[in-house]
Amino acid sequence: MYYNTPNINRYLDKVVKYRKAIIIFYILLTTLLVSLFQPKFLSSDELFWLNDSKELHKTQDHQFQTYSLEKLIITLKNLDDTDLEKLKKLHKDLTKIEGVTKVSSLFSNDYIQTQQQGDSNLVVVVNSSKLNTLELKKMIKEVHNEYCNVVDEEFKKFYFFIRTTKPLELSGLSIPGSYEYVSVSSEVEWLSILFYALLFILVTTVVFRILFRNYLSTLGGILHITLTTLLTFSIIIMITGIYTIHITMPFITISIALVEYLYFYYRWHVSQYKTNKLNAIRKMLNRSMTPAMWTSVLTALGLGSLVLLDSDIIKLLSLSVIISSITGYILNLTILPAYLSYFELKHTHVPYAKLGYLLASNELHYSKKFLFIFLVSAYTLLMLGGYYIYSQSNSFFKLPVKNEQIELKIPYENIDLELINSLSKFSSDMQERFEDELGEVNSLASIVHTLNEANTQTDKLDQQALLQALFYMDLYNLSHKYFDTNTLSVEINLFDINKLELLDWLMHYDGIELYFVDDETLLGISKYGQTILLATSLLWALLIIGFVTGWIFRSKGMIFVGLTINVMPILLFGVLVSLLSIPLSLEMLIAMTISVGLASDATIHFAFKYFRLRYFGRSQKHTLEKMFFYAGIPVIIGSSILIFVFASLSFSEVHSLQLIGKYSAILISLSLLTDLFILPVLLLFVDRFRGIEERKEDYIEPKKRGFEA
Amino acid sequence: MFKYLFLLYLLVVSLNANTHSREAHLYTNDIKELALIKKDAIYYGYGERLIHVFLDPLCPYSRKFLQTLTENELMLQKYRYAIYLYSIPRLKSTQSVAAVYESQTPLETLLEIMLQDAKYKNLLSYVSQKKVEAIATVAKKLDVNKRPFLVVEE
Repeated sequence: MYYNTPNINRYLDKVVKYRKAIIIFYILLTTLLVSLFQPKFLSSDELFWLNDSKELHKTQDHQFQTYSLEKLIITLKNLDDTDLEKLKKLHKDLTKIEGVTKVSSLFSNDYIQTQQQGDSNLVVVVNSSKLNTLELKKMIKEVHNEYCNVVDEEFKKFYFFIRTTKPLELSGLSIPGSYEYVSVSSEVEWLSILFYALLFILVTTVVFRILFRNYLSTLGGILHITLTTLLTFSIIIMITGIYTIHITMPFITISIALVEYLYFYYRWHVSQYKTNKLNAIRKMLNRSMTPAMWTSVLTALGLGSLVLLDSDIIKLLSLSVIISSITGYILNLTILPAYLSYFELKHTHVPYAKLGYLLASNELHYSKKFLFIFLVSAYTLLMLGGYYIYSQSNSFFKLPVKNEQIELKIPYENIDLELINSLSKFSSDMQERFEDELGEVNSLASIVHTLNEANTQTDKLDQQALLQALFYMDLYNLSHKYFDTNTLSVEINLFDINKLELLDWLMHYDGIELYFVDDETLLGISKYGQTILLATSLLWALLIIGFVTGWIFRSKGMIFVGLTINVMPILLFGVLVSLLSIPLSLEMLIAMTISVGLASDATIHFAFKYFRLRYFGRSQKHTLEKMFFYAGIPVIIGSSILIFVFASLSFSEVHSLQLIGKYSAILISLSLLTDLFILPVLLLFVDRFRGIEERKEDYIEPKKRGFEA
Repeated sequence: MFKYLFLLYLLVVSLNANTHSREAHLYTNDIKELALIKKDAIYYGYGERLIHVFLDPLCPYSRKFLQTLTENELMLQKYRYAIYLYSIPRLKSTQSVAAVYESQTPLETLLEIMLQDAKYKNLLSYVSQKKVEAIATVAKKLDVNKRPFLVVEE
């Protein structure tokens, strides 16, 4: 409990005695584990989501080949004959690249018309690649609706949708004008990672040098963070057998390890005694080891149940927090005192700690009315969020897309009128539901109807009309674009739509058996499919964290405090995500995990210090000041470094690093604000010693309770 | 009054005539009619599915159709074409039709005329005349109003 002060004298003597051996042991152990369990890093989250995808397994069971659907956007100042020829050549060259199965562009589109001279007429298919600039512009102006997904009205932007089973290399191609290539690369850009690792070290060194006036704090920090991260991932691989780690997952361990290290180091830094240098280490251990132990217990119990879920993503995320928290704790108890025992500080003045006094005096006289309004609003928002997640998840979690495509595969036995009618119904149902959010739906039904309309010999689509349409498809080499021996292809053009709503509609459409084949769509389905599981897991973890916090402090009020402090950053972030329609990603979950890790640590450290000081008879004001001094300052330092480094990551060229940078910087900022402005007020609100203080007769002098500063 | 009723009748008849479609024809009957002139057809291709085609050797779109078929080997592998020569009056193709029917190798002659624009000035023999008439009779029953005109056998 918070009022106990563990006796660690004998333990400390042993650590100091074997300090060299301890340091060498950890370095050797880490080297051995890392050499035995080397993770394979990926910068794309595709594999993590698709591993758990039921839709992908369904597609694979039918032996449909999946591919990546990538988009090349070319911008021209003015389309002339030279550029047109270059674009035509580019289309041809793209189709010849190894792994490319299909390219949809202006030059793959076929325009069907009737050419007529009196009694003589024929259904003719005009391919855009056969036309010159003038003819092309004329034709597209006439029927722009059919081409708007591949070219804009000004003939300045040209879209190429490339289906490929292998990563594309565009450097060898001659591409006119300027271009933008939208692709998901799973390759890790180590140079970029190295740059940000060095930036992190530099920022930490500068900040620690300014605040602590030494380099030993930086060296200790880097040693602690490196060992925690390497040991955590080696242990995760050892336990789970999952070798594939997303490149941003180490940010979880780095963030947690940095803040945990600071709780210990800072306490050592401000506890220097002139008489005996070991006293500072003693103080560091007996003041920080109990709250730090409870933070590990809290994360282990809070996130432990999630490890049992059948989802690699949730398993990896929760294990990263649990194991890094436990590993960091063990390292703080062993290698950190061993390392610090070599040093003694002379200038330990921390003038910036005055910030804590400022916050304490301002928060002491908080308005209960405002606190009540704030909490009611927050919990109302939380319930509203819960309602939307569980009842309207497809509109709550958005995946907005503009000018994209989806391809579906539909197995068939016979091409007959029944099949064509069911396909037509499918298209019209879809277009009725999504109206102008959708573009053309290209399927066997649409081409058969178009050919039939162009065929002056037939009118209503009957069996003969169908046979003739199929004949014309063969005549103009169109059949392979729409079907093979047992599968139909349906291409849906998306204008401006929440793709999740469409996917949800498609998955629940009864009239037709359909399969998704492009990785991006499968990824969207997998993410959407797991949102409920993820939301439930997060809510469950937060509830357990709340209850465990209450149990640790033997206080019902602390259940509420633990839950509120952990929920608040995620709730505010969720509002932001929903308002800005940001799609769910692994990076977002990692940032949320970091937030939960840091918020739960802060709750325990703040509350532990607060209740301990109150137990020993300190006034609320003095308690707040001390709490900010011992627990608040390390949180401010650690969070500020993390916010700066994560914010700089958002300028990275690597998409994944950009996302983790942006989300984590926002979430850690929200978490820091919650720790500094909400947590202390809530602690004052649930303060069980307030009554004692008010009843002066029960007040016990601090010295009588054996209080130590 | 009677004048208006008569005009209304004409309007109804004309609207009804405009909406009249080939769909009204039963293709089963068409196939039965076509069976009568199968022996007069010129066969092209070696595929399984039979397609009856009414062509005029001088019609530009009949020529385009035949050229597209000839250029695509798959179209000859997958389908077999029973070609009937049925002239469009304004094109005055009787001599070309006669050249094909009088030829020892009608298909080659047809391809020569339609793909290489070969010119012939033949006259129809009695036998060929009967063939042309038989084809025309069936074509009228089938309401062959354009060339090329297709009937795909199921």
